[in-house]
Amino acid sequence: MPDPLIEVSGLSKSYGTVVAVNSLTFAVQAGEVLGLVGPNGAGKTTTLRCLCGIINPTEGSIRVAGHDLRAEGPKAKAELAFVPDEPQLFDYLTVDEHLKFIARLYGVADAEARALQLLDELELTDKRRSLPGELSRGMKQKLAIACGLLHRPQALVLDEPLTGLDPAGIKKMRATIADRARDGAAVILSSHLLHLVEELCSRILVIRKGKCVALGTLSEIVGARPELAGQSLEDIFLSLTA
Amino acid sequence: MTGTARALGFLIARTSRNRIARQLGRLKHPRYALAAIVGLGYFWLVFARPGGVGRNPAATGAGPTLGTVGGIGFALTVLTWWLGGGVTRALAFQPAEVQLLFPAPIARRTLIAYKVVRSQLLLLLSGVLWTLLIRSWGVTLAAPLRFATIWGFFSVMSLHRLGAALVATRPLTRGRRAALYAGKALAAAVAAGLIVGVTPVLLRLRTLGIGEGLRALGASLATPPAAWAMAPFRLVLAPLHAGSLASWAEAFSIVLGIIGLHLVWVLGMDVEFEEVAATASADQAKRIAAFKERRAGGAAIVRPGKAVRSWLPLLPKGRPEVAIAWKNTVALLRTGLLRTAIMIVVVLVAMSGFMMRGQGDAGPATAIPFLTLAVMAFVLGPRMVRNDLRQDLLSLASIKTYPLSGTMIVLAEMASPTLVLSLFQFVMLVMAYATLPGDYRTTFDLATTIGVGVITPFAVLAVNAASVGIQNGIALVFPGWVRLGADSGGIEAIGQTLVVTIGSMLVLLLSLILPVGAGLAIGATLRPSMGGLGIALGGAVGVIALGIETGFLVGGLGAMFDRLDPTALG
Repeated sequence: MPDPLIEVSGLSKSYGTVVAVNSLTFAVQAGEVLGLVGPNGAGKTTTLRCLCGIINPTEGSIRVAGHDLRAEGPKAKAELAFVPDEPQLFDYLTVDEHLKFIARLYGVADAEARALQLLDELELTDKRRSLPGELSRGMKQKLAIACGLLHRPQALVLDEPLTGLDPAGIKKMRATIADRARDGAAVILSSHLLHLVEELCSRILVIRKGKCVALGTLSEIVGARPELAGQSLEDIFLSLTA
Repeated sequence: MTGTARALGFLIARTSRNRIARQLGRLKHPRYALAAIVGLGYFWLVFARPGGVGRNPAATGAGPTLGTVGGIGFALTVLTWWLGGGVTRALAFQPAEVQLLFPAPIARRTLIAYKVVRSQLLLLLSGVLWTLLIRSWGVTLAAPLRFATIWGFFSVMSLHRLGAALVATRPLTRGRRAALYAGKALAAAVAAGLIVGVTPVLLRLRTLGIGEGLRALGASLATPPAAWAMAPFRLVLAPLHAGSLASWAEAFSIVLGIIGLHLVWVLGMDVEFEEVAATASADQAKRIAAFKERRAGGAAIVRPGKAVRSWLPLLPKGRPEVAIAWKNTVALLRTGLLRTAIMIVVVLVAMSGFMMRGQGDAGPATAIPFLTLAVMAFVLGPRMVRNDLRQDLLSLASIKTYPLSGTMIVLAEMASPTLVLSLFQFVMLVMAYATLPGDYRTTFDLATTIGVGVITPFAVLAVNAASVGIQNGIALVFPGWVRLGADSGGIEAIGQTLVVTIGSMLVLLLSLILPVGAGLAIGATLRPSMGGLGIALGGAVGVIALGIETGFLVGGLGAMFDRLDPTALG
């Protein structure tokens, strides 16, 4: 089996006496979509932020495409994209300029063609010269997604990526995530939309109070707990996180 | 009291109480407490200190000027409401009020009464500030009378604006249409009276000078037809000039009467204002958000329907750090700071030219505006030009995902303000030199001039890099001191600005000691034997020393950036 594209080992993050993430260990292979689920305050966003180098773990290690995130930060980050639940855009750059900026930052060779393709795919072509202040919430989310996909990352981390999207946008985004995985990216998807997780994710990581309570395919999770057999993912989730 | 009135009273009381409690609660944190102490100290020093500004108000002779300027300002403001449009902004409520109160079973008149009562909180606070302020402008009234006068003035303004907004709210009924036209006609008559009265003085203003011109303006406003036009405005401002308690009480009772009439007018109208108010509220919320973001250094100026020009290109290939400097320069161009800088230069140079006109040989004074701007840019520039980490603090989570080391990100963030400020200062210094009369330019020999000329751009660049680096260092080490939060304001914000400004200047001065000392020593040693080259070498040593110091600073800040947790910024 090839080395996983995302490898997390003993990840912990504490804020003073509060332990937000507690000894998480998991790996995501190329072409795999891992669903990260848990109740509010379980530590999902903290985990994702650690994975992207936004915050430093208190303990543990993270490797992205073979690069240690702490020791080789820039190399690891060059292979990674993070799409947050709340799109963070620069108020003073247009849609086009956001993509030019990201292209230069990540050294995208075919930036212009790639940007045109993404703008078309995400229905942003008409808004190319608009500033974020002129965009709706959903369009901002689409722009954040376009920025994340522009450099064809090997590892894609998505935190509630469908927030604010219209039904057509949700359908396209689901297809995009599946396509990226099919093209060989490792995807981590955090969402409260359990039907989406069930549809897209090959494996599921359930966390509660920062700890892993279940990891595996749905059948593996149910196999480890026979009492959950026959239940919907929603009921399984509620049982595991109660 | 009805249940609705009680609920609205509860809302006002609790909102005020919670806001004050939050402000006071923040004082438990040392940074807010220190900022509040410094801010209060500043206010005391400027406005309230015995022997401070306004100690002998009569001696300043500013009282009549305040009356004249204040009266004209008041009149022009009211005329703008009636003749200029846009007055319906006065109907803006807070977003939560629109969402929760508009659909609630509350009568329109009650909503207006609520707005009037709520506005009193702001008017009372403004009254306190202006009571201190006008003391230094020569108003001799005792503090409580000053406060009551200011409150009365602001209350009339506020109620009149609200009344004008309600009258102008569309769709117009027959009665309000008549009232609107009557109001506009009256305003037009007042404007005509003012124009006829003051135009002759305005035409002679250039020959009269500022002091004599203001006196003549005051006199023209006291004679018909301008006196008739100003009569209602004088009534409201009359308590300001009262010589005794009795005359003040008489003048103030008239103001109270005007307030009462306005209340009857405003609360007597039953206008369907909800739609206009909702639009005004949304516009106001956008303006406030944009102002806060601009104050923090972000937010482009967005003009609906106007295409955004992209004339600063970014090559698709090359060092990734350049992309960050490019992004920050685009931000600078789009937040209007550059335009403001150009306007300041033009105004200062024009004023300087106007003042020196006809004075014969102005000597080196011609270079003063340019030198002043260059020096001001050294002192204030790094605080004002914030298109670096200070602006990007809110996007820190995004920036931390970039494939660059912390040191390179800090360096790239610093590049744009450093280069822009250096370019501005260098142009100002060149202009100062170019505008010097020839005999002043030959004060130094050619070799010295060339030596100084060669080293100046590098020195300017090095000092700006150090200064911008220090500002970014404060942003990283004490993020709370750079951005207290979206709702920051008041005394503690003033104190915070003072602390950061003084602190950063001290650090810059300390960092300059070694480079300047070394540069001066080497320059002075080599100049007798090497002339201008010796000065250039001394300058080069100073620039290199400062560059090394800044390099250490950037390295340290880079490591700090790598460790920084965006959640710590709040």
